[in-house]
Amino acid sequence: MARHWPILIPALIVAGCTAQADTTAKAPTTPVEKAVASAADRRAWFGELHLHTSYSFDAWGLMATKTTPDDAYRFGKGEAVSMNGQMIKRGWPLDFMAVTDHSENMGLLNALDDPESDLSKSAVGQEIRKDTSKSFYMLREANQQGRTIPGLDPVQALKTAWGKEVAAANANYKPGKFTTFIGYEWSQMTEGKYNLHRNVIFAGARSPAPWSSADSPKPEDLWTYLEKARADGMEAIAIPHNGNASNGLMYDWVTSEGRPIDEAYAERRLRNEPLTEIVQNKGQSETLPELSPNDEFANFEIYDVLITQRDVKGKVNGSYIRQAFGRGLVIQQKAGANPYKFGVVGGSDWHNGISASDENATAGTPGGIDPKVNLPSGDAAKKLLGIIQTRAMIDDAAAKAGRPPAVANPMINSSAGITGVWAEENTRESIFAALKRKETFATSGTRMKVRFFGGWGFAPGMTSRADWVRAAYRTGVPMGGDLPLRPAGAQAPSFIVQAVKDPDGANLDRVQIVKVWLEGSDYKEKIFEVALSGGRKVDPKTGRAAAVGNTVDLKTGAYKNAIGAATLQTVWRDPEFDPAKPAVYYLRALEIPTPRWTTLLAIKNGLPIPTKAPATIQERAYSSPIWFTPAGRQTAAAAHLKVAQR
Amino acid sequence: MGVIDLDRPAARDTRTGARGLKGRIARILREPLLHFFVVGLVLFGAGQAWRTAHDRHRIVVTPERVAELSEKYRLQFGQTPSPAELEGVVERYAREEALFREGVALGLDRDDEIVRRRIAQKVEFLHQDRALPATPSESRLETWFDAHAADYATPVRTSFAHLYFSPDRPGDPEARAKQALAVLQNGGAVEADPFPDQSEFVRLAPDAARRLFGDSDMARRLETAPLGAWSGPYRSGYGWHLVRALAREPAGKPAFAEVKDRVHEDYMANAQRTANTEAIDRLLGRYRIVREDVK
Repeated sequence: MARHWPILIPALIVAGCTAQADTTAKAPTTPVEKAVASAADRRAWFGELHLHTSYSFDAWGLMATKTTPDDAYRFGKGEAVSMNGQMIKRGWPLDFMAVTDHSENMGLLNALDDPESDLSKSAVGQEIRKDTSKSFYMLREANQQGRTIPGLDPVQALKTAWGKEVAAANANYKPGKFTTFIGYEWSQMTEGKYNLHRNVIFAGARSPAPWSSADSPKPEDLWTYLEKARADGMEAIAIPHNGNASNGLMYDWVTSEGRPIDEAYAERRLRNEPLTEIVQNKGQSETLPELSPNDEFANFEIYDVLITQRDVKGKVNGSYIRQAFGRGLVIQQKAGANPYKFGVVGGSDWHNGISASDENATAGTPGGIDPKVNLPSGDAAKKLLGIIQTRAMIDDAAAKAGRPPAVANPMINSSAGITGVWAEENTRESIFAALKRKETFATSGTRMKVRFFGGWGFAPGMTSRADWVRAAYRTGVPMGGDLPLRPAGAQAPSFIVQAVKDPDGANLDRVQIVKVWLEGSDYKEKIFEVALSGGRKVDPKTGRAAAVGNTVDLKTGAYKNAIGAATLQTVWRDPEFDPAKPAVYYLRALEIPTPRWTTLLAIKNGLPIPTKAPATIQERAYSSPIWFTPAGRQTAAAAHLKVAQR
Repeated sequence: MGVIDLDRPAARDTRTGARGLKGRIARILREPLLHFFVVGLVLFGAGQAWRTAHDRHRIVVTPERVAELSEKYRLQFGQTPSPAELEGVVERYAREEALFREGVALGLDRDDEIVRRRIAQKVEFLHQDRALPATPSESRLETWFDAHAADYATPVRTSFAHLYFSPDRPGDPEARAKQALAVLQNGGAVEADPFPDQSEFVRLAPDAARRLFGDSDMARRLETAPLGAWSGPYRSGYGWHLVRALAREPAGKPAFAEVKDRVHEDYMANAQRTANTEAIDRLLGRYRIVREDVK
């Protein structure tokens, strides 16, 4: 998103508070607030569910992060916090947040930040201090071999650190204003290179001790842990991320033991993992051009290499979410249940404890610095833009072969994503409930809001009615839901879409509906252009619309909201509906082109705009889907009966 | 100075008798040379003792020290050390102590930035929170509360209705809004565009307004929009708006009783901070800084 560079205003400027009494004001005549909020009162809240601090061993060891979980929450909340000796403040406060440090080795290395800690005084501690990055490899190798390093006691460190993580989350929870969730990341790296990571998010103020991939490498065992926590009154979910770097394992046809997915597995997975992360700093996991050749916007923030071997491309099949939606339908047909019936969220996965999703904030990732305070310049900027070559921080294959790490490609990183939820109020109860019912959407970092409803009886001009949201909830289902059973007379489902621009950001280009459906024993996908800005029309021959244009000035990085729309809404009816075929529908909204972070950084430093990265991008929002499942013959008859009885 | 012949035969002593012996001892005791030796011996003994205690090359391992090392080991590794392990720990301690003393003797502590800072930190720490500030009286708290009113102020909150003029519709939205305002002011009715959020907001504070409408004219001017009448147009992140403020709670000062706990917390934190600063200032007061660089 192209905003001004200095969004994080130094705290001093912000501190000024004017309290001016308005003597002309009447006594407040506060309208009576509704006692119970209904679904139609749900509002969009924006938050971060994926952030690391110095308590993550890689953040401390590789990226010199010093930020604590408490700092992270306070920054997210909009308070000024100290970083690298300067006070920094977020441009706009987040509504909710979870710090998700790796449970593996949590709190182990940052104990060295306290000179009084036992680790600081120990020989191992002194050794690590000399070369912090070595500690990362030491620990990771030990983890992979299932051993611990003498003097480094992860069990004890976790105990201490987890107490602090929980305390920081609870202390910063301000119901109605800022919601925090207790969380951590279970970081299973199969064969040391395939990402099966999940973030664990707790609903309440209590949690059991974290579960780590050292306890078990199998996601199924993580679910057992979650089920146990739930039985003990501690509701929690796991959110997988970076399927794009899983080498096909994240959304596989089989279980982690290689057995075909059956009904029990599918139901269990869905119960424990109602959401998955679709976009973050290490690329998007929606789809790729090679999976979706007819999707002209699939070529977006592609990160198709392995995290630990940056020059090795991962397997594409089984790694992306749109395909998982299709595979889910196929599995459902065979096994009777759909393991991939999840909603979507977005996150940063930043490792500097500072959650910022603006486009120009990206440049801070590798060094753990915040660009708005300490913008990379000079060689630091040249390194980020590939003008000066650097080596990858992690390259296991090279390490094994004894050659230097591959040349790093920092430009492959994206700016952070963000999660939107539709919830009645900004509280743990309300937002967690929204996460569980999948009434969520993800954006590539901007605050555009999208609504998506499915139903059988939406009137074509419905969105021009003032109370259309109420009607939509009453007669349809929101994102994350299942279409109600098809009433006898209904021909095809219709969908209400609405996208509203980021109030501080770019206009909207278009809203699309992505449909994935079961076709024989396989699935198919198609993209429908349902709402276009600027009066453009879909070409009936190609099914496509003309590009919206591009206002970005590559000299200044400025763009103009002279094209695009502030809001887009419509009611769309599926023209190709087949009541016999299960289907998944989700919304994708695109902004007009804005400069990518690489462009902004180059302009800021007077460097050439990189040719290896797109100069401009179209930021986007993805909704959680709505599913259609044909009823079995008996069920259909029963539904018909029920309708008739009304 | 005479010489005492200490090898004088004892027989002679015997012959001189008791009185002679006494006299001789007395004479010897008066001998300044003896005084010199005795004083020398005492000084030598004391010096030896002092050197033994302060011998840089003599490392004494006391039972207390061993107990401390053993406890540290237990804290770090979760179990008490075996005798062999303890031997190793003691050996490492002695080794480190020897190197440390060698370093101090070489003056390595003096030029080391980290050591300097660490020692300075320790001294600072010694002077922090030495005593809890006295619990303030109610009236003292109230005085504090009055003096820091801005910190406890509640934001201005406006309840309002608004009409939205979208740039997505044909025609210049600002001009359409102005036209509509004129109609409204003449008692007419107007039709605005559907706004993708509420058309009325209750008790909206400035930060919430910024969140909803963007960092914009609309968010900023809401708090001064006239009550009971339509005004505008104001620009937001979405387009143009006419606003009718329905009620306004001015920014205000909460009653002392409502925020008493917070005031108490803040007061104590401040008192502690002040005490800490004063303690350091007193310490620094004993030092004179001579600036030879400034002429």
